[in-house]
Amino acid sequence: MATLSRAVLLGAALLIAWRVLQVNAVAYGETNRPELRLPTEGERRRPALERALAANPARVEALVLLGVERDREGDPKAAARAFASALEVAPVDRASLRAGAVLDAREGRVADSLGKLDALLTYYGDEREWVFPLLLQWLAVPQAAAALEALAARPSAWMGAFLTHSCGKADPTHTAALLVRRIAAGQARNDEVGCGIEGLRRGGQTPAAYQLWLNTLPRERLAEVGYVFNGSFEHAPTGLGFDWIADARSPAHAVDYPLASDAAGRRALRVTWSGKRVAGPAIHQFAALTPGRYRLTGLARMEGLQSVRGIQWALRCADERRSVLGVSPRFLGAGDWEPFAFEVDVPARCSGQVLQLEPVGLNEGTTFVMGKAWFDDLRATRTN
Amino acid sequence: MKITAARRWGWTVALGAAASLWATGVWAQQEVARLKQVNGNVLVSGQSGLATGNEAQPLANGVRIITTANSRVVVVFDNGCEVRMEENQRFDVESDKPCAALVPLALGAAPAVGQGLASILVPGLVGAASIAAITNSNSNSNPNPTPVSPN
Repeated sequence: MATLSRAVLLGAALLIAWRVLQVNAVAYGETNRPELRLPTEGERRRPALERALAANPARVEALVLLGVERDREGDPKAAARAFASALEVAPVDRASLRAGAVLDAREGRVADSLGKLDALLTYYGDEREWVFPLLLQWLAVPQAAAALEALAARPSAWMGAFLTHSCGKADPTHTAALLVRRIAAGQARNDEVGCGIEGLRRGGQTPAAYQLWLNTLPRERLAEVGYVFNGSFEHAPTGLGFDWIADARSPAHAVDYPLASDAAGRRALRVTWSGKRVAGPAIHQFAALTPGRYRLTGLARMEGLQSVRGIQWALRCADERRSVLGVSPRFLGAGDWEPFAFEVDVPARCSGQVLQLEPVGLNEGTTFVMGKAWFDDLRATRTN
Repeated sequence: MKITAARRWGWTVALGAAASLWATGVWAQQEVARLKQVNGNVLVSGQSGLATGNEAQPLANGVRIITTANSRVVVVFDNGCEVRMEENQRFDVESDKPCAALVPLALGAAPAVGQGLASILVPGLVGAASIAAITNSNSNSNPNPTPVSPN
């Protein structure tokens, strides 16, 4: 009697073990998995899938294909249930996420679709190839853009790459809202923010670009943002947006911000020209001055500056023609710190400007410049 | 005689003050509105740049107000108009506009679209075939035409 009961128990245990192995081999095995043989098309396909699922309800592949069949039959609700079941069994299954995301999008469930696309992009980097172009179009749809915006506020494995991908392709006004969220969450990288600001600025939307850039500033620096930003050079320029941007590519000049005696603050701008021919400004800063009359002032000190016509600060309209709005007196030779000033009129047609340190006659070709020039305490004050 | 002289003196002072106001642009800077319920980083344009705005700060025509992330403010005009600014908006003070025209500009507002949502959300894949197409589409790391669970 005892032998019989032992034999029954052993048999039951073996049966359970075989079933466990069979089910797991189907659901999780990458090899030796029984192939899902289905009729290619037609009415017999769905019963075959249902038989496969009756044998193993956790077979994700069959659940996804059943969802596809139900959708094909015109029953998107049943399809959604099948995809949801597949995702319950395997939450990051690629095919389930793909199918579920597309069905949700088609049925107008944008947030649900985006949730699945988020998982897809997080776990399968190569899915960016088709999802990124899709999301680019979604940016123009308010409902989808709002869902993307909510997602942008959270840490993401792909949002930065998406914003870099969309740089130059998407309307920058659409990506700006995402960037603002990422900046506020401390997730944004300089390249994505820089591209967003540049896109807006180049698109003639300087006030929006300026507003986006303001979001990148730490709270303490927002207390006072001069029309010439960081004109005292006390903070290391970021090279981003409306901060100072030094031309580091040209071997004709070097720009740094060393400690300076007798200047307005502790540090000042120093530009050293090596004697090579100069083809462009050494440093510039974009500005978003509203139309009106301004007085630009500053301090300058020359240290053996040699050039035929000297150097000057120029405020130009940041359009293609770079038309001059005003220029400072010319700087040349050597001397102590001296104040300088010049007046500019910003017309209504010029919503964005650029303040730049350039050799006089820059538009006429390359110019010889050698020596050093120091500048400090640059400001723009509205006079009307 | 004394009254006439006083009147003349009064006119001279008044005209002088008016000329002075005109020359310095103070007339243009006459306050027409104030800030109310300042919350977060609200920036207000001034003579030499933007500065943090304060509660009840007077505002002149032409002044630009900018809210950054998590900031809000209400601009109350002397004529009774009120403009509620949410985060990441900008607004130029213009008292000669009717209340309805005083609308702050949002950063990155997406335009409304006229097409059907589905055709935009799943371009070219609107029908039932869309699911099959996207499910069966091959990717570099998934050469199997049948979807396979990675689990």
